[in-house]
Amino acid sequence: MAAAIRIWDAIDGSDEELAAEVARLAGLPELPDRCVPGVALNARLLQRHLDNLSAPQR
Amino acid sequence: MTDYIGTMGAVEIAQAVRTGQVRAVDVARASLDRICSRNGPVNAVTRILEERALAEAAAVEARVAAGEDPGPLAGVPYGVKDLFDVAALPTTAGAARLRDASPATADADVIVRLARAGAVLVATLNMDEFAYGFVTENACWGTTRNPHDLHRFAGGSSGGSAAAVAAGMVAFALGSDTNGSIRIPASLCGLHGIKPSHGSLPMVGVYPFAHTLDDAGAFAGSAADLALVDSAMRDEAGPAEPLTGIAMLGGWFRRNLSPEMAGALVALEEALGHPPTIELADVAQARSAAYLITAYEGGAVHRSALRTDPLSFDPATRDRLLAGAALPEWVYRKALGQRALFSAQIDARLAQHDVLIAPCVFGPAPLIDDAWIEIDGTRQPARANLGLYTQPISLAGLPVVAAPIAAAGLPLGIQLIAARGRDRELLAFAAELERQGLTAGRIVHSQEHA
Repeated sequence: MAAAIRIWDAIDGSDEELAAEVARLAGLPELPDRCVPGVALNARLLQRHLDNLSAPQR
Repeated sequence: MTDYIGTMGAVEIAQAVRTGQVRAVDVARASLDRICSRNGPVNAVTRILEERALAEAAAVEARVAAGEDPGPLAGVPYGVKDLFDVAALPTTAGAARLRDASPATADADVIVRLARAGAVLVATLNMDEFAYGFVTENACWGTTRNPHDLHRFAGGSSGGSAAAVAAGMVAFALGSDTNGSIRIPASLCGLHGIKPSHGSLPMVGVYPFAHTLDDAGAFAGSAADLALVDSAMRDEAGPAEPLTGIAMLGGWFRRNLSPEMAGALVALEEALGHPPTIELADVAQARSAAYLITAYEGGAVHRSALRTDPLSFDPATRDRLLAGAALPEWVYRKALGQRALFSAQIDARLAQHDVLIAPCVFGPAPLIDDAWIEIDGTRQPARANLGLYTQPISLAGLPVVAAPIAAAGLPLGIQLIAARGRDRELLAFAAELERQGLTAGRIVHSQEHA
């Protein structure tokens, strides 16, 4: 499901694309390969929490 | 060597030392012996501070011998999570990359206060790296195991602190709580613990995680011991009247519980005379706000080091911190807005009820090798979800005491939540529950671990 408000432009892309965007925003000159799956996983988790925050409240 | 620790609490040890019935140096040696004999399988301790402990104990003895007041915690041995500055030692915050950092030039302020009260520091204690975790799995120092069942987690991130007290190595310990890092391990290890009113204890010399949520606090076996330690850290003494108006938190806080926890809460309600149950709105959003605030603030602390040497971090925390370091400020601002709404809501509830009661954790400590829990019908990793009931409460900066339910089986804990500034009255309420036999700390006395 597409996110309502995107934190990351590459949220619907591959892990490599998403992790590269996160690394660029965090100011890393390059992201070691071994960090890619975990960084992408955590970026998607943060997006889910923002989606949750943006959901209708009662 | 007399077995002072574990069989005597902080109150009893201090009383015995103050009256000259036992020597502070003997108590310190007993604590050091317990660490040597018990720490192996539990893995709670990262550094043993024998020289310092014996010197502090000797100083307490000298005060007793001179007829001076040795302080309310005279000769009581304790340990600190490895993120409190201890003079002349590197503050590692559980990070291998800080193992050889420059030594701290002074003790953290809370340690200074405890030293003034006569307490004796014997050890530094294991934690999740930079306090970012709920299980105390550390790539450098290993996993801390639960003294009640070594196949299970002690909880985190202050897991070493909880396990050291529960295994009877020290009479109390300091930890820190951002999203549940005292309340969760206290619950899983059968102890009392407190996250105090936000900002009510000095954080000078405490390694930061998420500064708007971080608080230093203590673990102890009994509510009386916890109150004594808390009062020493505040330089406040004297009795406080216990809070009385109770309400149970329902809704979010009664879903996804294990049968053991669900049953224990029903039994507790009955024993308390069926207090009203109230529901807070938007708890899921509050938890998400806590998650995002933590990620943003935690990422900011480590952004510079992540840029230069990301592989020096524990993989379990590195990738979370990296994602947090890239969060834009507008996300943080949005989460802070949600925090303000939720805090106002819970403040309004605490204007109607003195104490709100909720579970600390879904149930007993998860197995290390099979750490899964059922959430809303799906199997989820326990590591990421142990904060389900503590994270939302953290947002409001309230004092929360974790209290161990008196029940058979593995330990289970509840959160006792009060309005800001009512810490001492809340501790008095926890002592009242303990007096009624509804809660009870559990120290593992046997040499044989489960």
